[in-house]
Amino acid sequence: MVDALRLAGRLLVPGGPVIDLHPTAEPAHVEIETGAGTVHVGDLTEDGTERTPSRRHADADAALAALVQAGTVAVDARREIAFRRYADSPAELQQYLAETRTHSWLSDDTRRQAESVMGAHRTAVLWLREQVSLSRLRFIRS
Amino acid sequence: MRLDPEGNESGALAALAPELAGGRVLEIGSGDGRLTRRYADRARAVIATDPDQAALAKFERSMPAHLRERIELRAEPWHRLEPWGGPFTVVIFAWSL
Repeated sequence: MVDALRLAGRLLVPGGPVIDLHPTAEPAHVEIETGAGTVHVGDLTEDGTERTPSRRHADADAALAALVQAGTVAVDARREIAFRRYADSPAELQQYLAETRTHSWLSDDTRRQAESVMGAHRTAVLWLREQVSLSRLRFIRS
Repeated sequence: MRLDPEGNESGALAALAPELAGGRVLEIGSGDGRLTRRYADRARAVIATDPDQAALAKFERSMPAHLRERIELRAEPWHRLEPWGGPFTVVIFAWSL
């Protein structure tokens, strides 16, 4: 990761920024808006390996912090946003995750909880929320 | 599935990198172009890279016609990145660090 950032710095016009977007180490939340508020029904289950999303994202944070500490880059600005994936049903979300992720998934318990909440609220809206960090980086030296 | 229909990600990106407008952009980890499509119409040129050839093929198939002359796809791992015609105004790591 550090090497990738250093290479990126050499491909830029002088003073040009690198923009890094990656989810924070916070787990991905399964939430439902019921009309009376947002209900947190669970988080994605992770396999605990080094490729687990929360571990990869923590590693990205550490790599960036190391470059800042070394005086290689400066963080000129940072934002955090909520990135939501909306699904029409818990089954659709579970299927989507099965097709797109290998180290995290929607557990059957969380799916049942989501089905229960959605069944009780006809206008409920289901989403998966990840917090995403965006940083504007400036190279001080390569 | 509907991904970030609020545009939170592209809005924050535009605010952090006004140079995207009219700039020459390298995006590392473009995947199927989900993010690229949201800013490329403002850029002068975009080189979108990803080692996942299947994702790039999906990107190619779904690319809007008006972006085809502006976006170039390259199936390269990060360590084989080059300027490809000149330095970039902005480099984006799209969920790829």
